[in-house]
Amino acid sequence: MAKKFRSKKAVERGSNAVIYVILTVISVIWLIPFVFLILQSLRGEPGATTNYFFPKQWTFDNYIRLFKNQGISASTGEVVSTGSYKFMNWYGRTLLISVCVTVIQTAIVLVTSYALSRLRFKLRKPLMNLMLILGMFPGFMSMTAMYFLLQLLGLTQDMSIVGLILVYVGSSCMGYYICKGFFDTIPKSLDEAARIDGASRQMVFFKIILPLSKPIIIYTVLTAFMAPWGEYMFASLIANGDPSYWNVAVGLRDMIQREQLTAYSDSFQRFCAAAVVVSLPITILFFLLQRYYVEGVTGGSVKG
Amino acid sequence: MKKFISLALCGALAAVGVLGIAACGEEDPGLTVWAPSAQQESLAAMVAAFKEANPEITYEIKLGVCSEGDSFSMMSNDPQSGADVYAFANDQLVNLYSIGALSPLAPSVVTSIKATDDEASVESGKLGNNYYGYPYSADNGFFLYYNKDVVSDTQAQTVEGVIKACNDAKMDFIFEGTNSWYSLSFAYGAGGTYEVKYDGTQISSLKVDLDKVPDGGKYSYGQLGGYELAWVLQQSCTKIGVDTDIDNSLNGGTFGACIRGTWVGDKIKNALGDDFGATVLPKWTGLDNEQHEWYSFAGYKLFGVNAYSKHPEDAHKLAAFLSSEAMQDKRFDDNGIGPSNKVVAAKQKVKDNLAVGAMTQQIMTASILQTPMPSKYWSEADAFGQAMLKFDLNSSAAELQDLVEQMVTAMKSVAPAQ
Amino acid sequence: MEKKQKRVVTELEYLGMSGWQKFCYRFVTFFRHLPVTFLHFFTATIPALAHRFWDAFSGIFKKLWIAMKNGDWKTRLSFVIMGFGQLARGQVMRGLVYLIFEILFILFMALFGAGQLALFGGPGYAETTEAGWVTDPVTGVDKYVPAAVGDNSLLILLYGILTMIFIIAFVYAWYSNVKAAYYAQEMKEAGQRLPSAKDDLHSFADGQYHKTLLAIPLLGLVIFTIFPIIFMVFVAFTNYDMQHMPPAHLFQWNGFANFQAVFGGSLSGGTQFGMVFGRILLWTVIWAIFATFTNYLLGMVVAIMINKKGIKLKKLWRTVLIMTVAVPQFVSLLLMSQMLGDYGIVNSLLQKWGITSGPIKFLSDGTVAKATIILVNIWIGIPYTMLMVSGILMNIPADLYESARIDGAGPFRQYFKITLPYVLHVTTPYLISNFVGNLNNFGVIYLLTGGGPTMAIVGVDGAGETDLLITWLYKLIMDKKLYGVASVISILMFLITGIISLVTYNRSASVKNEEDFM
Repeated sequence: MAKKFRSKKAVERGSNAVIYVILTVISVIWLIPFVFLILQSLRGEPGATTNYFFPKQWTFDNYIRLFKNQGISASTGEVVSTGSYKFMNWYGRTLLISVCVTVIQTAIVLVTSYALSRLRFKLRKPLMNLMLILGMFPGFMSMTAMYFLLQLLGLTQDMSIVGLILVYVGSSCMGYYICKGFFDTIPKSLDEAARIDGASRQMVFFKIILPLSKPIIIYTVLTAFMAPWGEYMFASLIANGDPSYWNVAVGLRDMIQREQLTAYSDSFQRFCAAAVVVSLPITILFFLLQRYYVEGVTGGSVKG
Repeated sequence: MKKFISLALCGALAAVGVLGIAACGEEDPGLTVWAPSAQQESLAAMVAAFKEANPEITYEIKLGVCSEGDSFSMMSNDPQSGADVYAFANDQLVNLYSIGALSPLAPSVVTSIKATDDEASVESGKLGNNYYGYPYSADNGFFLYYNKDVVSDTQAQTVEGVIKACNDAKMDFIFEGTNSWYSLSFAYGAGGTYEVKYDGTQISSLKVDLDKVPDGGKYSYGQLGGYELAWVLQQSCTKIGVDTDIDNSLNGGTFGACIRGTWVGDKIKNALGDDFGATVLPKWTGLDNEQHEWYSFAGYKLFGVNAYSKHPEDAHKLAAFLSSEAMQDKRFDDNGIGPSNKVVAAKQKVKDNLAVGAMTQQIMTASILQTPMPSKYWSEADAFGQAMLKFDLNSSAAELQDLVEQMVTAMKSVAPAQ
Repeated sequence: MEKKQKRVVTELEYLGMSGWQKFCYRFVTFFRHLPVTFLHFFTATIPALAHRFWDAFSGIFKKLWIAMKNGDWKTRLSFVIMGFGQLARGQVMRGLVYLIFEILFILFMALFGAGQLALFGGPGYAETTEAGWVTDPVTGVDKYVPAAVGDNSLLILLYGILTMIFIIAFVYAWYSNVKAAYYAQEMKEAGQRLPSAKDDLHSFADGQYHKTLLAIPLLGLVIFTIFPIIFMVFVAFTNYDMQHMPPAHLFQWNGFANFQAVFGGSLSGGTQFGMVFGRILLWTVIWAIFATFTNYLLGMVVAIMINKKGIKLKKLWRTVLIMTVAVPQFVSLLLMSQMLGDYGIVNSLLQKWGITSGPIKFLSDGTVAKATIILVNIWIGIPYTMLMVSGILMNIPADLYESARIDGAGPFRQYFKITLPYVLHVTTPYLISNFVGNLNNFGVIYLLTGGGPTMAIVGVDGAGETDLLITWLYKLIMDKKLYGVASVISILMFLITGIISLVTYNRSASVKNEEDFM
């Protein structure tokens, strides 16, 4: 009996060891690209690529040049200004857009989800189906129409922050799915009790549902906040060539275009540095709020 | 609800305000100029010089980023809000014209730039009876860079020499053979003649001379209008690599030679120092024992003026200024852009720049003007390049020939009549 | 004379199944019923919808007629002056809202909309002239003659649609105004008190709260999603392409020419179009299946490993994996595509360590690139599944495992008996939405390979080996400006994916509602 018990324990320990090995391997694979990104941002040698992993010269200058809008000229090897490249400007714009989008989108998603989850009205089902399929339409097919619509309203170029925010939040009610799923898991008896006590539907929403929805609110905030950082196509269309109206994604993409890689021998390293700077706040935010994100995504996506 | 109404009111007010601002016209001529992102610093200085040269008018000039190769895709989004003056590569001419984004040059101006600039560069902006661009650069092509430590000057004169030298030293010979821009040019040097007429919708006549090869025959140089060279280069020793692969090779110390344009000149020169070599494309010997030239495409870059510009005459003035002798000189100093202006091209400093020198020589000796083509011309040649990769030395030459013929048919086909 | 009978599972048998068997049964029946479901969609659902629509439509006219016939002068005047009925009966706020809307509408139409509608669809557009120079014969000075910009068929189409949307909104408001006016009249006649402005406001916070909540989201939906879709549907019937780019060259209606081009295969100038379309469609489906199921299964395995009892550093493992969620995708994917290039760092190291002799063409060989993309997608996708499944695993009642252990079930049996069925049960909707999302997954392909390498087939006009329908569509628009044809294709894609998801969603939801797990 004792022997059997021990062998069972040994099996357990063995399987745990295997799992540890697998998890370690996975973690390494998962981290390599990010380690590479950081290493490249600290590389001192010129040129876009190397055929070795670790830099030969370590330097922090790529970050400094990134913030000073400078680059190393490929022809002379001197530090020169990169002209209209203003990384902090792009960063600020993107941050502003991101924050506005987060606030508006979260509000829209929450109210839409609440209406679809709790209120019963005639067009509820058709509306849900409609929103479901509208998302299947290829987004870039609508760029032309949106661009000229924004132009009609004067929201391109110098007003492009407003234009972009409108475009990003415009259809956000279609992302109701997970949030509605979360609301569905909140027992209806809570609402009913409050309704009997004379609360209006608005009060139910603000006083009962919202306080219980911290995970899904944080989940929505996180996803809404992250999206504008990577949006490239519309941001580049609406800026119409003027780099001062770019966002981070457009700017970063331009840093690894041929013109930049040709003119500056440190363009790729600065791209990596910029990518680190962009990813840092999102990553930190994510790690801090991870628990809620998990709760939100679990609560929401499993009870559609 | 109250909140909603007040919000809606605020929104309406804001909208009115925006429209009001938009409706206000500017008094001073406002112009927008687009140039590649790496030339922005230089462009700003040129624009300042332009303002200084025209003190009687206060210009409001905005700078924008658009590389010469992207000018059509940027302009076509909304030609009416596009730049007033912008740089474009001459192969975009037809498309830019068809969306009305180009305004012709004054006849007197054409006469004067014909006198100052390389004739081919001026002609590259011609469509019908009109000229649509102010040429400023004649360096869009490719030639040979080599590491003198690996490839001797004599070896650099023939393809066989370069291949052998690189193979012996186990060094890289980098060439992007799957890219149609490079691969298509082979046929021109092999006695194959090309005749391309492009009317904006399709290639109306495309003629390729091919020697007939008996079925089952083996490949041999000189028999397939030069396409076999592309294939041999792909198969024997080259890295089918792009710009970043050249960086990689330089950083790793394995750079032997490469076929590329002027834009990589600086970094190769900086990396190789005294071993830096640049010259025209090497010749190649066919099985017919004849030496053939390896041709490059010759492309030019020009400044165009948007026909929708609100201040077209000022825009023409600016475009002429940006492509003037002094500005081409400055552009060479700042960005190493090979000039189309004859005076600048003849300067010693230009000749001393090996890469630009090699390019100029290449364009003069063995090049073919890169005329505007529909995108199909390039995409089919890309497919051809990929298909060729799958061949091996035992494939029959007739197969390759079939492929060439298929490519020509596909290039000539048209989009459905609308 | 034995008739072969389909095995039918009785309710009793079904209840006797284990969770896993139940799942399998449902899985099989789901797919067995799928054709019937589709058929049902066309034979029953659509006619039923049409019928309901007709009822609603005729109901509108009936109500209008009654209001006209039985209404007093106040109600009847509401037909012309919106909000009059309400104003006359003391519902000032309601009346004002209607009235202001009518005034706004009239202003809009007079100043903007009517002009746009008059031009809508042509013919009779003013063409743009070419700019040029005229040389004065006497002085020899060149004089610039600017282009006279004519009509812009793109903007006319766009503004015309906007106007139509506004007209529809107006008609709806007008109808509700008449209805409300007549209703108020009836209430007055019955001696009831009309709802005051305060009552109205209160109802917007309670009885009609959905209208308050959904007003802005739906406005956004109409402007930013429905409006562009309507626009693209219209474009499908025009010759908007490289040769007809307004304002220089205006596009016109061309009937069903684009549909003919797509179905007749005359696009791209040859017989290759059908082949290209077929190949891309096939790869799109294969990709969606692989991308969905690899992520799902592997993500679940990883989640189970991390959440296994006795495994330490749970938070660390999870955090490491989450990096791919937190770092913007365009950064990580562009980096990946660089690392996996023919002469990128991965190949360099593999050769340096002597593992391979030449470069592995991760992204530049069609077949290898397809595998690479699926692998990279696993790298991106596993963390999402892992996070979700982790949460679900915590929710599985512990006593289930306890009783299984007492019955002597080992870890594998526990997995197949409890974990897998439970997770599958609750994540079916996620799986479906993931599948449909992958059919249209633009980002991964676009950033990693851009659809490349070009198919090694001459005559396909730039279609790539790894192109999905959606990235191919992007090329048709961006490189070739084939707006008309691309609209046709996107409408087709829209219909196909839309119907698939509608049918599967509603079906899976109904399956789910029939009975709950266990």
